[in-house]
Amino acid sequence: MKSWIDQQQQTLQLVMNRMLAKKLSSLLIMLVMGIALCLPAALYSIVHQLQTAVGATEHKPEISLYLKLDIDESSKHAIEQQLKQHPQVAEFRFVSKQSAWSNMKADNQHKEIAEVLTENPLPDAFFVLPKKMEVDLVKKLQAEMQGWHGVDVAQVDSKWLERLDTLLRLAKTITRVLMLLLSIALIAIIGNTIRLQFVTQRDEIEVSKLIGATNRFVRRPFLYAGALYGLGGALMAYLIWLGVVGLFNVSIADIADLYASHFRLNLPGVVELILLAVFGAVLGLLGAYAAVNRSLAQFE
Amino acid sequence: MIKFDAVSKRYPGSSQTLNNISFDIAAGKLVFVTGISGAGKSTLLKLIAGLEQPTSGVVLINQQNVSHLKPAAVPFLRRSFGLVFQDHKLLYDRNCFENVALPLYINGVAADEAAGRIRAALDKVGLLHKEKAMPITMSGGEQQRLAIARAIVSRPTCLIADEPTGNLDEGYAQNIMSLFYDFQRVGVSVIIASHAVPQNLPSDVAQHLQVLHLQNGELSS
Repeated sequence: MKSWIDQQQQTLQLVMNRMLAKKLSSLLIMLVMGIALCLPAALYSIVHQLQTAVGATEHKPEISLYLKLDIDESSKHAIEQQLKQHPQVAEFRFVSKQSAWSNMKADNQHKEIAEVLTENPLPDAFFVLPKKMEVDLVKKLQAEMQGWHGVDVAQVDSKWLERLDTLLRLAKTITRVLMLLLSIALIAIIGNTIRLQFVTQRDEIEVSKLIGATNRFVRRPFLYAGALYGLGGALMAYLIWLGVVGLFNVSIADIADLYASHFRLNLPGVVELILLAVFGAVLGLLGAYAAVNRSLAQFE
Repeated sequence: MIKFDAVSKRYPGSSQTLNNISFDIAAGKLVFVTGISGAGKSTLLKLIAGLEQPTSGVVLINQQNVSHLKPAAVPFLRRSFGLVFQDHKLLYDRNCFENVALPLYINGVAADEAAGRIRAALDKVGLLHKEKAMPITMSGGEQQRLAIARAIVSRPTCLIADEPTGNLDEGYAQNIMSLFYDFQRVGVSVIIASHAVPQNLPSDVAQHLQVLHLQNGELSS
């Protein structure tokens, strides 16, 4: 066990020394990785935050419950009770057919229509504000209320919300595809870098194998190098992300102030840093492993 | 310890390099593999060290059939030998200490223990004062001695050297050969490829002498 730890330590030392000896090229590889990692990560986070922000807008989708014209008092009362007890209903108000009718007659725009009509065509109605504004949940709630006894039509005005949501979903999908493509590119970049290093260390690998080095031994420093490039890239990505969001927030502040909103993009935190680090290290390892195994197979 | 039974080795595209070779080497021997250039001396050493596989016949090393070893087991067989190559195969981007450290590093010897053994090996070949020197700055004889230090640092039971004095002048060659005799005296089997057996063998070493003379790829006594 001690010798195993010793070997890992020695390898890490060796790899770090080699990287330090080639500061510029190591830094460039990490920068490339950083940009490629940061792009999808930051985009995804921004889209996600927009989605959440949209859910919290002032423009709340209201569900209108138009009751049947021939509804009796007890059914009306039952619906009111149901609304009161429903866990997803934030608030509701009742507008009776009489008050709606008098509103309509008082309203200049609709006065003429009202004058033509001999009797009140309007139904009683409840206007319901859901607690959660996500499009899916609101639609579910609407469908549920449509089924209630005495409800003629349950209507929700959420077309614009749906459109925006679809757009944001599309943006998320695009970001995912981008992430996948860039990951493949990163594996290729690291693989190529490691393959070149393998070539430059050919003498050492040859001698090592002649005097009894296992493939695992030969592979180890390259795997460390791959993982370290990945970690360095993750750190770069984090810094770029911080910078970009900071820059965006300046302009966002101007726009948001116009709308009297306090919306700002969140800066990436510890969780994002850890996720980036793990992701970067895994990509680095994968690239290095593939490259070394291919080189070793050709070496034999 | 090493047993060859009707071993032949042929490289693709060339005529037979070794043909029907059989011999037995007991532990603690001083073996000279002799013959003119191209007689197959290097090939024979490579077969012994597990660097090559025979085309036919059986190579037994410590009762193990080399042809039957799994690829993953071959590195461990190689570790029981100390190899001195004709062209040294030193690493020119590392200093003496680091060159000698390589086998211990491969064997997973802890760093603190390794340092002592590396200095002991360098001391044995008279290069302790050049610990930090880069091999490229050293003479041919010194590089050869460094290669020997690397071969012995992992305390192999068998030392194999391919023409270790081939490119050296007489004084240096004497010096190198006496190193090998010293290892034989402490019980290490020593196998050396050379164009001829040296003239002035010390008598205590000569007792353990065994000569394998190669001619046209065959053994002749």
